[in-house]
Amino acid sequence: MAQADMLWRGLRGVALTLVVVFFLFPIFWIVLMSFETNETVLQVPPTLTPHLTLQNYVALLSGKLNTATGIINITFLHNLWNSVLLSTCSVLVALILGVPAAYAFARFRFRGGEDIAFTLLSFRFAPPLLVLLPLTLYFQDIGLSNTYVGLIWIYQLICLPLILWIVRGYFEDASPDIEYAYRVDGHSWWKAFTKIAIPLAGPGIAAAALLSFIFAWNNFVFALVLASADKQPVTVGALAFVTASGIQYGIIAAAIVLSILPTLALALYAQRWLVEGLSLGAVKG
Amino acid sequence: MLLLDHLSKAYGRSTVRAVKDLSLQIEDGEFIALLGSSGCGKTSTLRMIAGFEAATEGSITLAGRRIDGLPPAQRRVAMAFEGYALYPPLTVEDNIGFGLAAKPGFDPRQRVRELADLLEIGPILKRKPAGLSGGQQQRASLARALARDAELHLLDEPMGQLEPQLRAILRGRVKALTKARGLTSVLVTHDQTEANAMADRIAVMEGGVLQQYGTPTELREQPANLFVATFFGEPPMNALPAVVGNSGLILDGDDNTHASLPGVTLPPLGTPVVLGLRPHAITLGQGDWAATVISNRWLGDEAHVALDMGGRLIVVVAHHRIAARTGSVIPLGFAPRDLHLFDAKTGQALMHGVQTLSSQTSFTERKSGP
Repeated sequence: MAQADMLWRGLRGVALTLVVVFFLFPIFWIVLMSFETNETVLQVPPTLTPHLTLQNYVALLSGKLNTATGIINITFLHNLWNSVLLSTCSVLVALILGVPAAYAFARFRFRGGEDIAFTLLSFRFAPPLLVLLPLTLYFQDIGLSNTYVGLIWIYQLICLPLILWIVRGYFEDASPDIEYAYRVDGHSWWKAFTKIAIPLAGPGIAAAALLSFIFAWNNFVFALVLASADKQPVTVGALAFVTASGIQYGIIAAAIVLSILPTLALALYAQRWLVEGLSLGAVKG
Repeated sequence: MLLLDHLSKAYGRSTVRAVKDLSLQIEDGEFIALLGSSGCGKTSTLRMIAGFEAATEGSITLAGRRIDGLPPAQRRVAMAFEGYALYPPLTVEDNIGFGLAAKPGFDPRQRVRELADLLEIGPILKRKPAGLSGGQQQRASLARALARDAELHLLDEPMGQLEPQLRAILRGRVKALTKARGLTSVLVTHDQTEANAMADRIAVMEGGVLQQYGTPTELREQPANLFVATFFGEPPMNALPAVVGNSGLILDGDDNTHASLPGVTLPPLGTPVVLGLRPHAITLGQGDWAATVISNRWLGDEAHVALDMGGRLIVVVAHHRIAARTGSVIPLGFAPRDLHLFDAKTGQALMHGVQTLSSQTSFTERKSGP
């Protein structure tokens, strides 16, 4: 009995280790690479004890990269700022538009309601390239190409359906009776929405906001086509490290490490909050 | 006073009415019950009164005000929800006292304590709804509704989750409280025992249509139609299809059992009718009919006997033990004053309790009795 138990535990440990290695090794590798020079990265066979250096980070933060062909100006910090600005504003706009819409779809049956909700979801089905060419032409006509407003608008294709459909599910799960009870107690529809419905769907809204932030942050192709250098987020900005003198693997690795930090921090922060909210939700009812 | 005037409800663009042309009047301080099986329209009616659903047709007047166009906040009603609907972040105490303002001569905490004692939720006042059982949450929800000073109290299945013993105790207490405070109340329930125990008048609904609105005694003694007759009363009334014969009724079936009713004015010869007999109204051991005993159970205070009479199932309740074995054939009969006759086609009641020479005496006796 005890032996079988030990065996089981051992197997479980091995399985868990395999999973963790599978998912975390690339990250470990990238972090390691970010502290190496391009030469050591490309060394065959790789050394197990590489010489670690901070030069990639220094180059990124100072904006100057010394290569064999001369000094290249790096706009990485500006790209990072663009990412923060674009993702945050897109999620905020999507929340302002999506949460009331999700509530409407969850609570009211109206003509064409399902069709509208499904159309919004269908934005996620279509490959982005399908809409990019006409969008580029339209945006040039109405003067939105290469503007933050235009990009945030297009980012709604990513954020709005996610928020709408996730939050709608949370509103549908919450009994409308609590809102009715609040309204019978002398409060308006709007008060019931803001004081009862939104707090009850809080964990869902947080989860949807986090997910859509990550999707917006990781977006590449919209910004690549619709923004020029000064509006580009880090995902597109990293292309600058594919230089005439070769691909700057060390720099790219450092850029990746720096650009996953904000989402990682946000996820860790929200996770605490999410677990709290979801466990409260789990015992309600 | 609450007045429902030709109220109808259709959902969406459907032509099917969940509630059809419902008119009801509820006096101040009256406690009424909307009784019916699920889907009969009773909850839709309640939600229209509370303002959660818009009435498709008709009007709702409460204390002289048309309220059917008002938002729930302005209707001055209180409601206990079947699904409890307590505010999750608040304690039971805060839920009950939510929105109650202290006034000279009125202490909200005092009222919360009284209701907590009445509904036996004193020990859980400081706890939050999430950790409570369904029965505790239900009583908290009921207490919250009863704590309000409203023109009308709507109680949607307020005791469905409680244990039978507790339910029986609380029925009486809640009823007494509503009478003491003069609350006008509408109870929605599918439980006729609850409706019987609490309501001054009962509105029986089926298929969105009001079948009968009257006191429990009226429903029992003068059911308006076959539905009310068989729905209200436990065990249900025996309904025996028959046709009017020369000197009484001929029951449908192989053996053409005859119920001779000399001197009774019956509907025209040949009219198809349904003879309704309450299980309590049938006497065993004497009478013109004979039936085979299928089961005979003594429940401690009454005997339930099921019999087969030529293929018809008849249930009889007696207040004394019946000495009849399963399979034995015993005579049974009824007094004409206990019969109910219904039109076989429409189900409408034709007559209740025929007075004959022999039953007249007992009828008058009962009237002058205590």
